[in-house]
Amino acid sequence: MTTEDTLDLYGTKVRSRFLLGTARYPSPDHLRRAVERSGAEIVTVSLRRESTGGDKAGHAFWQLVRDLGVKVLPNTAGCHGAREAIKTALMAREVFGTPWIKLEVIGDDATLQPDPFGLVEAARELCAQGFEVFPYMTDDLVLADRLLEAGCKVLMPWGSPIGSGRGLNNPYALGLLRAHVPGVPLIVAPASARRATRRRRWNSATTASCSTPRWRRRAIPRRWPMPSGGRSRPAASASSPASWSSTTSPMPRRRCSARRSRPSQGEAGGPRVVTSSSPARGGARKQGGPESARSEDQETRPVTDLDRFYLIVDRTDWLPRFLPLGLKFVQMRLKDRPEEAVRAEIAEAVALCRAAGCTLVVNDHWQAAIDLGAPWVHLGQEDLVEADVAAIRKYGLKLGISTHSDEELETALSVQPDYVALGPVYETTLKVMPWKPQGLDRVARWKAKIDIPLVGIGGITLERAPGVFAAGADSVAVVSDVLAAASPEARLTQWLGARGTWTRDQARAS
Amino acid sequence: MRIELNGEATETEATTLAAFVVAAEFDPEIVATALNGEFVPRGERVDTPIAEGDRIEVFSPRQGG
Repeated sequence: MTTEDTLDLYGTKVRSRFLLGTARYPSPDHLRRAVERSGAEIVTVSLRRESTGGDKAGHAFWQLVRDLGVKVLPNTAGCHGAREAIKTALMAREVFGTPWIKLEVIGDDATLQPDPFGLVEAARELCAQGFEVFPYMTDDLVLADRLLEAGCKVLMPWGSPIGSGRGLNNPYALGLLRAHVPGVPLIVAPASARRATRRRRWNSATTASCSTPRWRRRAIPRRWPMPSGGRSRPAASASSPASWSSTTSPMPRRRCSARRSRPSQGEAGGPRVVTSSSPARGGARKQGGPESARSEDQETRPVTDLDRFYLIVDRTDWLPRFLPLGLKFVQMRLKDRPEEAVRAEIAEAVALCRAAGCTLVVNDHWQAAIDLGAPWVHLGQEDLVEADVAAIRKYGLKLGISTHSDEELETALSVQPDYVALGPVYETTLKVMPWKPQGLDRVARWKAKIDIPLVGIGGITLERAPGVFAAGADSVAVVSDVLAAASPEARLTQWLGARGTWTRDQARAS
Repeated sequence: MRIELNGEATETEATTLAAFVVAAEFDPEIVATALNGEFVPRGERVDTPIAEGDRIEVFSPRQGG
C-alpha cells in the first residue's frame, strides 16, 4: 500500500513520484542522463508503425531503456476509439513485456482531450484481460468513479491539454478529485509548467506527476527537480509529491495543444497516421487562424545570409538614416516596451528593410517576427527557453543564438541554429553581464567547435574588427561603435567600406 | 499478392503472417503484429494465413510520453 515513502502502483512500489517521458531528447545519452539525474523509476514509452524492416533506432532505444533498469509504462498515444486502443495495448504488452498500459483514447484532435466514453470501455476490457491500466483522463469525478469500477487502481488526470504548456490548469478540480478518490494513486499528466504554477502542490502521499521536460532546448536541466533534501537516487523519495515536475524549461502557454506531430506517421494510433504525411500537418494548430493564414507566407519570406557587418539598433527610426548607406544586415533589439509598440516598430522595420534589400533580425520577439514577416530571429539563452523553436522553423525563419559558455553553446547547438554569437569578445558597457571578456582565442576555439557561422559581439570597434574576423568570426556585431559615434552615419560608412578588406588569420586557421 | 503494410500497399510472396514478418526483414522477436485490425500474438503468426488485400500492422518500440 501507499505510504509517505512509497507509491503503490498495482503492487509495484516506487519511491520517486516523477514519471519521465522518453520522447524528444537530443540524443540517447541525454535520455540516459535525464533518467539518472531525475531519479525517475518509471519512463513512458510508445509504439511506432514500421514501414520497412530493420528499425535499428527503435531497437537501440529499447535496448537503452532496458539497460537503464527502469520500469516502462507503454502508452496508446494517438489512438482514437476503444477498439484501436485495446489493439495497441495488446501489442504493447507483447513488445514491452509488461501488463502496465497508459491508456490514451483521444476524443478531440485540437486539444487531445481524452474520450471519456471510449476510455471507460477500453479500460473495462483491458482490466478484464489482466492489464494494469493507467487511464489518461480529464479531471471529471464521475469519470474517475467509472474507471475505478472498470478495474483501474491508478488514475492519470490531465493537468492541462498536452502541449498547452499550462501546467496545472485547474488545481481546484484536481483538488476535488484528490478528495473524491482518497487512497487512489493519481499521476498528473502532463504537468510541465511555469513558475507560477510550480508552486501549487498537493501534500498527498498518493499523487505523482508525469512529464517530458523540454530540454530539446536545454541539453540537461541545470536545476533538476529534486525532492527537498534529495541528492541521489535513494534519497529521491516522496517528500513533496507532485511538486517537482517543472523546474526544467517550461514550454510556452498555448490556447490548446501543440502536439502537431501527433498523430503522426509512425505513431501507433489510427489509420490517419499511415495514409500519407499530410494528416500530420493537418493537426491541431492548423485550426488556429493566424497561423494557418501565415503558412503560405513562408515561401515569400525573404531569407538572406549573414553579412560580415552586423549592426544592432534599438529603434526603428535609425533605419531611414542607415539603410540608404548600404546596410545589409541589421538586428532590432527592442527592450522594455509594450508589445503593441514592439509590433508596430517591427512591422515598420520589416517594410523598410524589405524595400532596401537589407536582412532584418528580430531579437527576442519571435512570435511578432513570425507574424510580421521578419526573416530572422535572434534569441538569448533565456529567450530560447520560452520560444517555440519548432514554430520559428515551421514558418521558415532563420535563427541565431547568443552563447557565453560551453554549456550555452551546447544548448544552442541542440536547436540547430543558423549562427551562434559569442560574447562579449571585449569588455562592453552596454549590458551588465556576468561574463568576462572572451578574447580572441575563445573566438578561435568557438569557431573550431562549430560548423555554422560565428558572430562576434561585445565591445568591438572598427579598429578591433579585423582581429575578430581573423580569429574566426564570420560576422562582427556592433552597437555602440556606430550608434554612440559623433556621426553614426559617418561611422557606419567606414564600417561598410572596411568589411570587405578583413582577412582570416592563416596561422589561426591552420 | 498485394497487401497493405501499415497503410501502404506492398507486394509479398508470403502466405503466413510469420513468413511475411521475416520476408519484410522485421525482427520477429521485437515487433508486434496485427491483421485486419486484430492483434495477432507472436506465437500465432505461423498459423495465421494472409490473403490478397489484408491489412497488416507491424509495431516496434519507440520513444513516447
